[in-house]
Amino acid sequence: MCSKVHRVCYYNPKPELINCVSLNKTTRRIALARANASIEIWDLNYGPYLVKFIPGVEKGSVEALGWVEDRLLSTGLGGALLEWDLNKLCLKSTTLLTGYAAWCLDVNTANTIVAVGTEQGYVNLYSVENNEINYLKLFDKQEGRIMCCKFNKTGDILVTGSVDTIRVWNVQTGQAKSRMSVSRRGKETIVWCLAVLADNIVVSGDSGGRLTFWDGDLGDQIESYVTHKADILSIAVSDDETYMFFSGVDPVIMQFIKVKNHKESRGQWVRHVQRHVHEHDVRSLVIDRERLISVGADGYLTFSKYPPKWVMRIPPMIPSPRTSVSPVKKLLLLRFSTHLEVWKLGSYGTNKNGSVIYDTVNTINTSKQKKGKNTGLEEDSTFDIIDKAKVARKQIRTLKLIEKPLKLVSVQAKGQKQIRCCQLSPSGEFIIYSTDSHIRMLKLDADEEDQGNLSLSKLTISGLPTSCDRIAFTQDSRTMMVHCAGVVHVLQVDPLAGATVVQSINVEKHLKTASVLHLYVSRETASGAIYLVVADTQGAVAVWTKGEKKYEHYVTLPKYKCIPSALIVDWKRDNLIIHYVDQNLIEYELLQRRFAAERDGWRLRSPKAVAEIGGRVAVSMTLHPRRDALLLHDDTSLWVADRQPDEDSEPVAKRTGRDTKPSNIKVVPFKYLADFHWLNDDEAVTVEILPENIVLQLPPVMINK
Amino acid sequence: MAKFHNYYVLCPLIDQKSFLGVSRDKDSGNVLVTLGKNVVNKYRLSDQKQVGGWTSKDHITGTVVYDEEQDSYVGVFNNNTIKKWMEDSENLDKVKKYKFPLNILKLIRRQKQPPLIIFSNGNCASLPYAIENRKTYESKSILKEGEEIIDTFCLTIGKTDFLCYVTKYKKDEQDRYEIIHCQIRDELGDMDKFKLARIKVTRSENVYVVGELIVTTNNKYFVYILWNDSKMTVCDVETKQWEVVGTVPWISTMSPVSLAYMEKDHLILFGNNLDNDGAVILVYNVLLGIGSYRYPMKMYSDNAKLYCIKKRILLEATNHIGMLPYVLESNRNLSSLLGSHEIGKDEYTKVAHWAKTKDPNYNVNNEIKELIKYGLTERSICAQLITPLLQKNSADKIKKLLNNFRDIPESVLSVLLRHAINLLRLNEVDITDKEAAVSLFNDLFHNETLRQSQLLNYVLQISFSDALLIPHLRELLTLSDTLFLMSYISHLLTDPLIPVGVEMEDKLCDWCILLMDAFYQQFVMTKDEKVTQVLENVLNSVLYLTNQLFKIDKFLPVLNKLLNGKTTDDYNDEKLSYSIEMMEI
Repeated sequence: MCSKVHRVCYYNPKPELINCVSLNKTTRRIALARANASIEIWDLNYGPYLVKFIPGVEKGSVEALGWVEDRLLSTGLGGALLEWDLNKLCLKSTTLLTGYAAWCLDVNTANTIVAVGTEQGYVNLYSVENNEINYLKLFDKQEGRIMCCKFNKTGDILVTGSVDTIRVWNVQTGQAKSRMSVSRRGKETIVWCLAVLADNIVVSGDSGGRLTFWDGDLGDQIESYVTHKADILSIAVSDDETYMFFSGVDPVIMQFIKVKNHKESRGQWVRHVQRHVHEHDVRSLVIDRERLISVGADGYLTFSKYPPKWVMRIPPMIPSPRTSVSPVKKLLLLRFSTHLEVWKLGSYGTNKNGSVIYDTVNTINTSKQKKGKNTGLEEDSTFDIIDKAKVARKQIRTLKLIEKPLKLVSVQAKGQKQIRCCQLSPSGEFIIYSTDSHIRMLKLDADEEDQGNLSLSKLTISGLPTSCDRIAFTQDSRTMMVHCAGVVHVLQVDPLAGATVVQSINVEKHLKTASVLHLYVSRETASGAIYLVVADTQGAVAVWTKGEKKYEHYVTLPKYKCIPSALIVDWKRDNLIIHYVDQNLIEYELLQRRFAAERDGWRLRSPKAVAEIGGRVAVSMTLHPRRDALLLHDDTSLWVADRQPDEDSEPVAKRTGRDTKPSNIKVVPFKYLADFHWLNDDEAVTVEILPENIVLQLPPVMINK
Repeated sequence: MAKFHNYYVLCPLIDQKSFLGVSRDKDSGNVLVTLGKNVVNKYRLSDQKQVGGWTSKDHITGTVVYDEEQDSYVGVFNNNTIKKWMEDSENLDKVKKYKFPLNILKLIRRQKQPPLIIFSNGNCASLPYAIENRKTYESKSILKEGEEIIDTFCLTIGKTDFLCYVTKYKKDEQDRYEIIHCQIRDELGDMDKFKLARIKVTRSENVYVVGELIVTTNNKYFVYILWNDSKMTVCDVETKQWEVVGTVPWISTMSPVSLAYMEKDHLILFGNNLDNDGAVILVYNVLLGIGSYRYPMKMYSDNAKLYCIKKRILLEATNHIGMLPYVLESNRNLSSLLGSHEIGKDEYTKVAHWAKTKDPNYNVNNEIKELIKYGLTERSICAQLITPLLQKNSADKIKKLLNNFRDIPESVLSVLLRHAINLLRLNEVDITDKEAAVSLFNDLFHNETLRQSQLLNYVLQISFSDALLIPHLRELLTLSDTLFLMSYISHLLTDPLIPVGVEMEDKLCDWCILLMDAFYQQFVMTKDEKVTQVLENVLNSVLYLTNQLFKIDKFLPVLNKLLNGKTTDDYNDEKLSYSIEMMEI
């Protein structure tokens, strides 16, 4: 059964480069900062999943990030040490540093001290115990800015790198133990990155593309290798110190491994493999268990593994919710970093009989240019099923367009601030967005006949705090839910009078944290109820239902070990369907307040399905409007899972590989799929970001010849 | 325009007196420099390297030339001896001598024929013949007493050769110059004395010659003479006609000036500069009579030999032979000519030969000839002839006659126009009826049998001066004539099927503007609907034409883009960015 799919490929927000990344080893979450000073927190426990987003401020800068247990610290050219409130997703505290702009930050292994290197050559030491930030010590001023700093494992030694020099400091006394000169033949060399190994061996990467091993106690050079054609910007050493990765402006990722021959006390570091994963500068590397996480100027969050060679890229995208549609008016809201666009979707032509007209000038332009390109760049590791699906989709039937998509309005966020969240009401009347200091609601009056004649007017909102991070509309667009810091405000929306808060629900007491991951309002279900589902970033899910006047707490679901990546209410059955990042799909019967007897009606956990979907995490879920099927998507594919009849309940696990039954899962590949929405029964919208459009907006690549 | 490159030295001279001349070698890139007395050197022009040379104990007295026919070099020794040698000869003293009983002036190289010996008494002979008969060779001097040859030139026209001298003698304490011109007999190479002609070089008493040059172009001899009043005159030797070329600027004519022929109507002159404190080389365009380039030099030497070989000027300077490569552009750049033309008073009066009657040079019919005899202007002739023809109503004849005139008086033109319109008998036609008008107009233009219409079409192509024409038009044309004309013209301009050339289109526009100007007041005053209709029609056609121009204006950049291999992006983008597909989901 075919559906008409509007493929919107002109959504091209500027890809922001990733400046730095920091891994919290206990929670396995990474924090990464982009060039626009926004911070993203990803959960890596299963598939990588974006959990939190803190928008950046104009002219803000994040040069380094650090985790102190669950606290996130950052520093940048503003010259302050910042602590972020990860519940409310805002700034928690600011501590001014000595020595102007700060370039680097490191936290010792015990999570007690933070060292920050500054422009003027001061190393600032702060104690971060007891949830506080207290001034501890200032090291003697040294010549030149401090580009990088690293504690050793025990935390008694700090190594700093600056122009032409590496210094080893005693953290207790604040005095320099030794100084290594890096300059070669009088040529200025910048030490960009450092690593300290267990036996106090210091590894440095510099602007000459040279990796050098030093004896940290004596200050002698042990070994030096020119491995890159340009600056080495980052080094990552594995926990057991048996291998390390490094890369930089020359984006080849080089691996060194430690080999021990003849039971020598010290092993020898030797060159191992090199990976061509990036085309642009690699800014930062982190090792998470077996996987290497590399980020840089291309804005991609890249995971790679060897052996066997495996690469997974997560494209730079504005965090979800990035688009929303109004099925009635066929409007599409696109979110950009600091502005919003509303588009009227195009329409297809029909002939006299009412059947659609196909475009005669049909082009088959799938994946043919890929093969010719021989840049030596490693492609994303793919799954068989996607490859197969790609082949199957060679034949594309395009409909004849009689109306092209039309940009109705472009809304600049107030004060050019970055947008935290935005929503278009299902009726297409209201646009609401929030920056970190304002919530704005706009009424869009578009004339059906004359599309040039439209007006945008501001609506007043009363009773809301200054910022929010999740917004949801009810189906009739007359009620709006706004989440802010653990409180969901229910607002009555009127096109003339604006929006007024009618109820404030403190969701925090039913959840674990004040930071909410999902805010979902169901349409009226078969039983006549409207459910409000809230899931937090720790994995707790609670449900409210609309009572006589107010929304009342209905049920809190049993705790599951991981966070829900997508959830939806099946309004025909009154069931809540939740997809977790570990690909577990549960169905909860809301009426009976129990899990459905059949735990996995879509067989997503069947071995075959697991093999087909791979380690992907669905970021959004919708129900098929015409049949009993579930649609899930991540950034590279859309999966359609039909509900399987219940007959073969007997386990077939013993006969894996012999499963001749056709799979109930259909995979449609995209590159990259930003969002998927249903417009009506047989019409849908896909918002896609083409990789070539991302590349187009990137700075030029270092010439590699 | 001429441009000189840097001046450099080809070879040093031992002393200027002994330098005899430069001649072309076998290889066109080389030159033979006869350095007087006893040295002959061969130089390559491109790098000024000496590539060969001979010395002799005998005095060399004439420029050594290359004998194409025998592939040998020939020189004059001791004024009366000829020696011939090969390129690889080492010692010239051992070469056989041919001694002549009379003095030899010089040798001239001829094309594809043996060189010519010129004897001091003016006689000449082909080299092999002269050598063979040297013992018996005798000839009467063709020169007067005291006359000496200062320049010689040999030219081949068809199969016959001609020889030309410029001679000088003193009479009444003044230098007199004469041009001697004679045909040369085949084989023998001596002068056909019956065909010898002398032309005196004379002007008024108080001017004298400072430089001369014999030049051939297009199988004709010309002798250029530079006088001391800076006037350059030229004599066509064949017809013996003199003409003034112009005044030569920048160069002093107080002292002798050397001349050489460059190419394409350009002469080179070398002489003192105007302040007499240095020399100047100047390029003189004889066609325009202007100096087109000058190059200042430090030292002047009188009667310096000047040559032009292979795009290089070779100049005998005081102690070396200088070389000056040049570039001659045929494209005239007006700005570069500014100020180069000096106007002098023409004191030279041309003597008309009344006896000879010559018919005027135009190819015209007798009626015009008659009138030309009275010295009437073109305009008045035209006016006199056309008017009677109009009465006779013979369109063909009028057209034929009009072909002869460039300048047609405005009065005649307006009469013609009225006549042409009257011929069409338009009274019955209503030009406001669109379809009828269009068919009529098409008929008028395409139907060649309609002679009347041809006359109209012809008249519309004649160029005119608008301001003068307006009163005549006002006087002669009626309003309806004007309206007809304007509709016709606008139809011609807009109908795509009518092939109107660029010039014709230009004229039609001019006519239309002119008619508007002439009848502006009438248009404004009348409230006739016909007038408004016609004017609206004209306006529409003008708008149509301007729109076409705008379209071209828009289209050109697109074409340009396509030519440069760039496709228009917007088309591609829209194709890529959005589509509605049928998808099985």
